[in-house]
Amino acid sequence: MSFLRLATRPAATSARAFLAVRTAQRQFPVARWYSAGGALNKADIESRVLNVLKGFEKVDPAKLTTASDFSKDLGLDSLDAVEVVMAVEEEFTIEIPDTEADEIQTVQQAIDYIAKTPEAQ
Amino acid sequence: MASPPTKQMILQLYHATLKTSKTFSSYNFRNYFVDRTKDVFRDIQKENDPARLTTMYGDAVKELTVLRRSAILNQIYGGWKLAVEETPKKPEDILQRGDT
Repeated sequence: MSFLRLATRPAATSARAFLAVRTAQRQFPVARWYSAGGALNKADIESRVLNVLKGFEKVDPAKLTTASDFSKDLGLDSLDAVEVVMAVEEEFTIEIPDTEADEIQTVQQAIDYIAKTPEAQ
Repeated sequence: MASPPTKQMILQLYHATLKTSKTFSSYNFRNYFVDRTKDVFRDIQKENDPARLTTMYGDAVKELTVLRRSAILNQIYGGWKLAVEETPKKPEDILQRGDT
């Protein structure tokens, strides 16, 4: 019995403390400042994706534009395209699911994917 | 006999294997497995015979499971970083003789 009383007492005091805090909050509304990262801007994404592609030996920097296609313009095959997508994943610390990764075939598509992914940083 | 793997299946396996290879914490293992993965999949790319392709794909799938376990173990018992992995110091941070 005494144990039960002991066990319930702290709970009761903490509940009272909680109520006190609640009333204090009602009197003085607490402002919360969550720092949201905010989306990356388009130019930033573009230059970072292009920089990633410049790191590939097979890519000719002269042919590299945002409009270029991995296979047609840059001369990359499907395995290289997977490596490009992985490098982009690492650059922006995201994971692109397989179904989405298969669809990325141009530089512009990669940029668009990053732009619509809020976790990208 | 199982049907030969599609291009998409191979690419997804390549993605997964390469990603797992990069999670090794030891420099030597990591680079070895990244290079090896690239070689293995180049061989798969060159292969035209569907039967050979199926066995190669099957082997690669089995290897991925082994690689995943090994990568986890290596993350636990990876050891220290090698000198080649450390980012080079800025010139002003390198102590010269006489700087005491």
